[in-house]
Amino acid sequence: MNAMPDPSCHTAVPPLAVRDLVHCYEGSNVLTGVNLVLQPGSVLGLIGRNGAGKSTLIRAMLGLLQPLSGTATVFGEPALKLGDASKARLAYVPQQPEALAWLTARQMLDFVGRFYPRWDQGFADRTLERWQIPPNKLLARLSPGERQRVDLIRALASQPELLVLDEPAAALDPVARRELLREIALRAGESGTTVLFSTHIVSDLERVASDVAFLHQGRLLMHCTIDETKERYGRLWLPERIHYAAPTQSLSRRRHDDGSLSLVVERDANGAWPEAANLPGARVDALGLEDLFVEIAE
Amino acid sequence: MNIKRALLLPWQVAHVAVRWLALALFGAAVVGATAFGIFSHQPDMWVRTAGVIGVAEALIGSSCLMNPVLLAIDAHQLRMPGIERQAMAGVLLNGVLGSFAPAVVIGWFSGHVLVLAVFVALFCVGGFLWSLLPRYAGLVLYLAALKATMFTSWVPGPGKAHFLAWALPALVLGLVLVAVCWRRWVLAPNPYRMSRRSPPVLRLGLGAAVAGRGPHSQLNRRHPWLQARADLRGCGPRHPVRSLRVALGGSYQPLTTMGWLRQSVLVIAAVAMLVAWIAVMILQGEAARTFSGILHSDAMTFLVAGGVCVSIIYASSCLGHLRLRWSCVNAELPLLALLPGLGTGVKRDLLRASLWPPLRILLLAALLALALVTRLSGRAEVFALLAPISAAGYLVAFTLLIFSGQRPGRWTMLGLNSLGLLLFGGGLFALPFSSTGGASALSVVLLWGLFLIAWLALAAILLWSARLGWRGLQRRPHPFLSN
Repeated sequence: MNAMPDPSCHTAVPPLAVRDLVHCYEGSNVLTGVNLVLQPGSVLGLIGRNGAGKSTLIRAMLGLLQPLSGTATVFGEPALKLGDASKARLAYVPQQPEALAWLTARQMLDFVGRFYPRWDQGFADRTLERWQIPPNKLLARLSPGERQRVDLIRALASQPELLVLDEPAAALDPVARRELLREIALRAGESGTTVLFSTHIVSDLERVASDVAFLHQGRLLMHCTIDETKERYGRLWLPERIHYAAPTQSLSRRRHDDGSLSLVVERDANGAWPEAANLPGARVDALGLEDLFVEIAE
Repeated sequence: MNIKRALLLPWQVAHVAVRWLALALFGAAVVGATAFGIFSHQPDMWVRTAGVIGVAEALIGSSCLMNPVLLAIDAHQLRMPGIERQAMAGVLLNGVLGSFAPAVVIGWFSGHVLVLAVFVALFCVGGFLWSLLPRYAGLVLYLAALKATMFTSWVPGPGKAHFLAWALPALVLGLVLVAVCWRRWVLAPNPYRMSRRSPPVLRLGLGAAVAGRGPHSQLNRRHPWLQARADLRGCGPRHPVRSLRVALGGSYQPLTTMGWLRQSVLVIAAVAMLVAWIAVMILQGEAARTFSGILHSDAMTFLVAGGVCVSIIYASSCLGHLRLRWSCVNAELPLLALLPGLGTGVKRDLLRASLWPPLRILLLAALLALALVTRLSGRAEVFALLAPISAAGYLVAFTLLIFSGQRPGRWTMLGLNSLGLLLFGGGLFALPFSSTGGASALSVVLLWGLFLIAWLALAAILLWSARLGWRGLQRRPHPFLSN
């Protein structure tokens, strides 16, 4: 199910926005001038290979790291200097959460809940029970999947307007993963919660996201709706004899053993494929989201 | 077998900083103690000199020299031939060299090479055993050494007749025990799986790193009955300091009375054992028939040295805990950074939450030391007072540096480590000399002059580091950015 963004919300302040974000670790660039705006009510799936910079981007967007340059805002406030009001409106679940391992699940939810004005204790209790998490066991003693689910409960019980999840399904079994996706879709559809989640699992993205952003080697290669990816991008195949006509702008370019060339290309503003697509022998194949991801990432 | 390679192996396995620190410590102990022994004119000073070198040997034996056991374990599990033997040979060769070389030097002046070598080797084997035996056995070893220093007529020291009669068999027995323990851990099917019987070599330092244990491994290892329970009463936006203490965890978190008892039961048991042991020794009364006698006995020197080490270890463990928390990007930092209600004074509250609980304990240690110092006439016991104070200085400066994300430069760290080593290590080694008045006036003046300069330099560097940390923290938009 694709959550539909509420068009009326588009005039509001974007819950998350970054401009010209640059960051590097030990001399190598992790983010290279990333620009991204998350529209209210949208469910954005951030996809990319391992080490593409997804977690860094998310952390920079939320003010959890100080980027080398660029700006990040949350509900219009600088991410690094968020006020309590903005913090109360957002929830974030990191990849493999490890916070407060010395508390039990119940203690952790009780402790954190005291800080959120709209905390739903009933939801926390019910979900703990429904997801069969032992409430009086130390978090350190729970499995990674259980830890992840406790942190998801923590995030959802605060009733956030903006939910940011970094690889939320990585440690979950298929049943828990499906429940989580259902919860996200429900929150987005019924409460208008804006969601940003990163993932490797393309099927999750297709199931729940309204938009997709593809991050590759620290650069945001595309950002559009899920439906657009199918219509806007395609694989242009050119036999060896017409290589010269290959467009210079493409998302990926690969030469095959037989000398042919395949490129991931994008329609122009008028909806037309590059001119080379019209040459005799050239062919444009439609790409599913997973194929598109693999073509670009390889 | 390549002897040179075997000799170098324990040092190659050790972390580079630990390697140089250990070598510097041993070198300083040998040179300092030998020089002190030569310049003092007491007839039994060479025993104290060997004792100081022995303590250094025991420290190195329990830290650096035992690391090859990890190599032997991995080599055995990977079925790699030859390495196990090389590792064992490396440990033995270093032990023999570390015991005999200083003994030859001191023996040159005093003429008791064999006695001194056996004496130092006993310390070395003690270090090995502390490393390879379970933790509680380490405490027993410490108590045994404490008892040996008080009951010198039962256990003749190296300056007395019949020393070799018990020392040589004890040394052989110790070596056999080392071999048995070594074999046991190398052949164990899953040696890195922690239990109460796991030895320090697998629990600490390189062992912990090799085992790949996460930050919460101790929580996982503890029996549920021994788990501390946080006291969440009063937490919330109205009490940010208390809430931050809960979020910092470890020794920072407020505990319920039952939680505190659960967490401290092992420490309480160990302290009770120590106190009972001392009480028994007082009742049996030999070396120390009066309270004053106990205060001036060598056993008290041992206790003071133990207390100094504990205060330093405590400060280091607090800093290690904070450093770990501030390096995890998926733990408390994101939670705290996005937690509403902590208010605008969060930096100040964080400092209060992170500094006051450990400083309170170090202050208590300093007061205890002060009480002890006022009862003593020995000059080096002042060191017992300065240790918790300087540990507090380290704690404040490095806490600020951690929160600010600042890292002192290489030279600053080198200066701090060298001075720390000189003061803590040198102070420990100086205790046996100056507390009994065995040293000459000139050497005592030189020693204290050197110490005074070193303390002042250390204080200056710590102040500079704290200033660097404070400024860095002020520059940070919020204190929950990972380093």
